Amino acid sequence: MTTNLSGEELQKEVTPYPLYANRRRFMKGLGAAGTLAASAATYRWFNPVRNMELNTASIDNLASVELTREQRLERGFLVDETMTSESNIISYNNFYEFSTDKNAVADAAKNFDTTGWQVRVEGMVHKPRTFTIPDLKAVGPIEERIYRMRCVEAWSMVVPWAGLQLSHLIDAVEPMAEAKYVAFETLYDPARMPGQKTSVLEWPYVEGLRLDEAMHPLTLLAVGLYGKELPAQDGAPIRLVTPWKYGFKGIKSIVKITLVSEEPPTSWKRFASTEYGFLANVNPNVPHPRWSQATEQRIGENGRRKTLMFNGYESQVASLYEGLDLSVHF
Amino acid sequence: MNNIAYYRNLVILAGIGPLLMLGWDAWNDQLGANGVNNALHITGILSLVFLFFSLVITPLKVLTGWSSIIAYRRALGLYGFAYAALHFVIYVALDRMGSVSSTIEEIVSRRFLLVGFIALAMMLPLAVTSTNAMIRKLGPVRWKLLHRLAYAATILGVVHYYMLVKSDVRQPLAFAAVLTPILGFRSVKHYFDLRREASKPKSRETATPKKSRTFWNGELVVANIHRETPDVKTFRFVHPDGEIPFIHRPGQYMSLTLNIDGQIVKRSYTIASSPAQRGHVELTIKRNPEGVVSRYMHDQLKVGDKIRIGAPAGKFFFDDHQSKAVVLIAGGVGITPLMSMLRNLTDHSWHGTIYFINAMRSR
Repeated sequence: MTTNLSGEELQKEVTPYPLYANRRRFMKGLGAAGTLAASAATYRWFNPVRNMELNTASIDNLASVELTREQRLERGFLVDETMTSESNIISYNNFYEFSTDKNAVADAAKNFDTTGWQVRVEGMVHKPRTFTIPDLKAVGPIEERIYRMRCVEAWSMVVPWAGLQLSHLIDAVEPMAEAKYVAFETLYDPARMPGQKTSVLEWPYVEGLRLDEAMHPLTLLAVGLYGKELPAQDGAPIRLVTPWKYGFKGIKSIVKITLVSEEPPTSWKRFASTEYGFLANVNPNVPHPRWSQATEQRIGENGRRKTLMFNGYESQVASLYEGLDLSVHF
Repeated sequence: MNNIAYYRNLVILAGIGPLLMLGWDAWNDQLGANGVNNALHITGILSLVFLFFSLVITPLKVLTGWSSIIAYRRALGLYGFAYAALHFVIYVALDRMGSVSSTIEEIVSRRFLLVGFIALAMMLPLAVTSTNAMIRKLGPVRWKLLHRLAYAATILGVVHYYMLVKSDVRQPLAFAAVLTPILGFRSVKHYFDLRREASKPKSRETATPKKSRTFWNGELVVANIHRETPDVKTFRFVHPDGEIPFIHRPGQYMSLTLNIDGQIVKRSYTIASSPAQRGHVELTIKRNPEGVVSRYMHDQLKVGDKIRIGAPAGKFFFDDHQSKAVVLIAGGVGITPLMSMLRNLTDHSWHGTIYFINAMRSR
């Protein structure tokens, strides 16, 4: 249908100029807002906010230790510093088996299933044995140990671990006289640990301690933190904790422990022996070739702390390294 | 909304987005467990991303012919610099706790820090010389030469990132993989430009310009700028040696070669003055809010500026003195060739009849 409009009527049909101009302004504003939103959304896509909660089962049989607070402090079983928040501990992890992005490990590991986990302890021992996690928990008391954790990347935490003193396990398998070192191995299963499909490190991850270090009372096989079972990103179901050494010594998701007579290979030393040593003791005086180890960023704190010799465990462990040049044996 | 200035503002907004988000996350303490480190990582990556965007502009322009894209390059490059500067400020203020001595000590003893610092230092003169005034001051040749540093700075930025990571070098390598074809494209193009330059005959500039109808190439100086209407200006050009060294036919145009933001652009404008005027030529140009050149002419060009000109050219002209009458019809700024014709005809006291019909906007 066509209508014949007079000139005046036609004039009325035309959008009035101010309205027309307003529409243009509106469209422009929309474009600007859209651009800003898209750029902010892109940022958020790459930098998601992660609020983590630890919802693993609680460890109800935490051993009540007969030591006084002073005795625990003296032995290094307890450190009188603010504990790093649960959320930070479980959201900032170096666990290359899942991701090389420390902030992304928790998410990448969230479906990691540890049901039926077994740890084989063998090598130069009289009683080699395969342990389930309940078996391991029965070997000795599961204690709470509040340790400093110093990463080789110059950041640190204070973590309330729950675990078994490694010496109890080694005693249980009865080491032979020739055993001088303990070698540890992480699970190798690229289907469950997607990071193992990449070649950022040689898999599986391996670590090692001298037998005297392994027998030291500070050395812990942790099965939990904050009174709950370890979440996957922190090395479930069982991991090593050596608080006077850099964090990478704390091998996670252990499936094999072998007592040996020679120094075993360790992952980071194998990757770059000039940057990472076998002992890897925390030492503010020996810088990493690419960064200083004199100070550290304590997670959750502003500013930097001075890094302590042996991460503050000098009185407990210094005797292990008497006569060693620590700038050579780093 | 097909408006370059508007789109440039969108680019500027897009660059602010991440900064606002970073500020928001820092303010709300949600930058993750190691906020300082995360902020360093984010600003470093942002710097590289914007530097990459700025470097990919020229290849894109050459490959697609999308020439207005060049208008966004400066903002992108400046964002690359700004995020690198922020990266450095965060490092000094929050990682080194504001200690200058510790910053210097770390930079000189850590190679990857030194590399990153050099990259930032290289970008500083580029940022300083990014203004139109500085581009004019340096001149196109020196400016272009200086701004090649952008490539060096970006390469060093990627190297800095590569040297920093512990073992997972996939991300820095991905940056390198994108950078390589950009650099390759630019070097190949540069090589062909040089070859073409070498095969050209020597410039005629040294020869004394002959006043003739033949095409002339050289520099004219802006002698006067006159505002005709709010968005129309007339630009008068003279030759430093006196007379205009070419003679145009009324209606013909001349082409201008300009350096705008380091980019060479060419435009042709009809000469509005009469060829009988031997002392100057005039262009009457309407400012087009989308036009790179007309905006430059209106907003930046000053009396005394030199402009490279090639003239005359064009087949639309009228100087037929034998005709009895001429009908000239124009609309808006399209009057310019007719201005030249009318002026020429009246300069020669033409005997014929001129019918001149002109349409123009009243609002």
